[in-house]
Amino acid sequence: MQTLALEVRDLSKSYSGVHALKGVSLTLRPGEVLGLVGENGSGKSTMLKVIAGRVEPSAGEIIVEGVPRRFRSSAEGLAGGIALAAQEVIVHKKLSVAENLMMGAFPTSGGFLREREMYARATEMLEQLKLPIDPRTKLGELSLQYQQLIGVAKMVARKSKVLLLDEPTSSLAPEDMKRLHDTVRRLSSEGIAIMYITHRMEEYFAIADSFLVLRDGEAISRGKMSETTPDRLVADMVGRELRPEHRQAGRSVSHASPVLEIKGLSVAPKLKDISLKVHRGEVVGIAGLAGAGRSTLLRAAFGAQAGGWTGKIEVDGQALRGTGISEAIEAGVAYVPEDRKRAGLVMQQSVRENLTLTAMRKVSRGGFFSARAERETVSELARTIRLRCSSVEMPVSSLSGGNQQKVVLGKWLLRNPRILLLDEPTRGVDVGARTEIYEQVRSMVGKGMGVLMASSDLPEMLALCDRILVMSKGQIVGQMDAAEADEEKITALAFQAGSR
Amino acid sequence: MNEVQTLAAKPWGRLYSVPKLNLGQAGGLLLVLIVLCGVMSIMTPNFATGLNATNLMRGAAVTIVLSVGMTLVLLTAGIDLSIGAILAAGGVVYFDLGMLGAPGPLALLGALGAGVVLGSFNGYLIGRVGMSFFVVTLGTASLYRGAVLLWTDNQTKDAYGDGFARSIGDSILVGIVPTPFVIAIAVLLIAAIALRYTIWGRSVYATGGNREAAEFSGIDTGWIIMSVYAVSGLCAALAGVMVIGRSTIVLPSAGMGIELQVAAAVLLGGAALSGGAGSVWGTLLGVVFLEVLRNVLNFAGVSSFWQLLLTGAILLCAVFLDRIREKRRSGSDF
Repeated sequence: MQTLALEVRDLSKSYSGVHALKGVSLTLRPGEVLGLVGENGSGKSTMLKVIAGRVEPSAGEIIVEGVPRRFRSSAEGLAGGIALAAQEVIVHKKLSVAENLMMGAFPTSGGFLREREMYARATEMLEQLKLPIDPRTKLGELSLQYQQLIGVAKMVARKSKVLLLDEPTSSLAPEDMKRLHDTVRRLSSEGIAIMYITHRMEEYFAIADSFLVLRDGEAISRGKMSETTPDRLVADMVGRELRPEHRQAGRSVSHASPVLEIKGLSVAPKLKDISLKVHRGEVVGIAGLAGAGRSTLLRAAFGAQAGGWTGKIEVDGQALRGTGISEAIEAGVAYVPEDRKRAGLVMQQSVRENLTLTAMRKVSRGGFFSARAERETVSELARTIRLRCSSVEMPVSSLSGGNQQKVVLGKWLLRNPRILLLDEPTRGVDVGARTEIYEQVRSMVGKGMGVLMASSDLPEMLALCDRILVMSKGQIVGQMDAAEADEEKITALAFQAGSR
Repeated sequence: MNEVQTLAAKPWGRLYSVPKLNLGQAGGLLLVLIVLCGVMSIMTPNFATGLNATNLMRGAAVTIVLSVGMTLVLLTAGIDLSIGAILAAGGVVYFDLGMLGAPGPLALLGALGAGVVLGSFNGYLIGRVGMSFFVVTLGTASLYRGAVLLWTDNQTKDAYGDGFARSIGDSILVGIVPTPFVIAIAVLLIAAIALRYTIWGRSVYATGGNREAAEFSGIDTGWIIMSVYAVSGLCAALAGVMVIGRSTIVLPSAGMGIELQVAAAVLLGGAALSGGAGSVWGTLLGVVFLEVLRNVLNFAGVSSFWQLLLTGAILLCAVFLDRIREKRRSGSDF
């Protein structure tokens, strides 16, 4: 019998009495790709962190190639042959791509950096991943998507025995995702065992050999990918059957006056002459590859593009003067940013404080908060957005990704926005919360709000949008009704235009 | 952590939950403080006396006023290194206005106005222009101090006859309670109320906790940052007049180096250098603790060099213990 690459026995982890993992065991053969499936908060990420040595287990054994190991840090884990590309990618934005890739394993002689070799090796790595990036570029100049890819590539390069990938594709466009899948397959054929987490069910079926479903820190089911179905996995994950999302039919879109109209918007060098309309009660999606300019467009419409733009942005017929975010918010624009931890939430403040942050005047008088008004408003809001937390006084950082995202969306409800800008609204959000976020957006739209959303998740776009615009290299290259659109058409359009 | 949860469980307890009320560190400090006072009361007959209490309160007053401003600045993830210089400037403005014939209260208002202007200049460069708080306040500390020294030609003035200054900086208001202490507590209370119950206060926490998210929620974070430095300048100028009352002289080098003592007290009180967490109550505890420590060491006849050394050691210990606790609680990745 072949030696196992990794064996985990009865692994448990608890944080001050809360059990994140309860006695999970698993085995991993060399070259096996294991999909770790579960909702947010089910213990998937904790599992990977414990195996990699980043978090200490409360109990249990970790056996790498037949040898019991106990890693006390990620560095020890790496030395022991286990590489983890964590969900929150840790990158050095002010250093070059090559320096990021080689971090912790710089080619040196006598303590001095061998720069030429570093760049040569980085170039080779980028070529293997088919990434068109100059290794001398500062990482901070790349889009978030590419930053994530570099973070993953760095770990791939470590030639480990076991590679742990925690949502490596969460911000990637389909094409970049395929590149990553190719890499995973190549590594697997080289005998590297891989554990993989994603929030896109179809990815598990595309690359995993086997699966392990976790729920509330316990292993629920384990088996071969070829012997299960998405529905079965989802049922195991949530412990109940979920109905597939239906596209909402027959919504009344009033085409009389657009609630958002953008005319000839340019932001050098990222956007060129963008014109679009979003009507009352309409959801317009923007599809496109990484770096197509989707996020820049949304930020500009929110007034967050300080200076440097030309064109016209009108909300309900009123042109924005371009003085900044406050003006856009006053005009009725709401924005859910791509990166909720960086731009959406004040993590150490409570759920309550985050929820009222956009509309503090509504729960105060003469600058002083009315404790009762705030409490009542917040508990009603928490019910509306179906927030699951033990108390609204908890710091928002203690919530799961899905519930955090509900807070980012929910904080705009108090302002009754006319137009909602969504950037990757369900990134890192589990299936259950995702459905609830869709329902929330639909109910707001039903009341006459317009939505402009960007998402790399095409099924999500098809489920939510009435109309889909395709962007490429800062321009709108096509438009279609959601009823006529499918993933192939959108992808084809985005690529065609991209390769031109 | 447990204390916070029990508080939140009471119906009106939720009023008292500021973002991450750091009871851990400040609570431990309180315990040490109580033990220290208890032991001293038994061992030293002169410790638990009205006279010593008056001295303690008088000594703490100026630091409390300064540290309230510093707490606000720390909440926005900054530090104000220029408070010592603004303290001196406030004192000089107050004295010179008096020389021009302005009555005490009017001269005080003038000094406070000067403090706000000097503080706002810091805040403008930091909040609006986007310069680093460290560079700006390091620069203005030198700039303001230089201006004061040039203006006064480094001449020390006698203010012994200034009754108004002495009344706010030195006099006894009632029984054993000195007026400066009452003023300091009033300043602290105003700040506590503003932080906990006003939109401005919530915005200060939000700006310090995550400036981008606060900005994206419609808060004018540039203005918020400017305002905390303005308040810090105001506090420093008030402290400047109180110092004149206490020392009966106007010293152009007054408050030299005091910013670091104040920062130590605020950090000891549990405010986070990274912003968004801390409270003026923790700060009060930090100031009182350092003041009592100084007092105790004086009684024990220990040299002031030892006091300096101990202050540093205690600050490091407190932050170290807090760091460990934090790591345990959150199961931090690092």
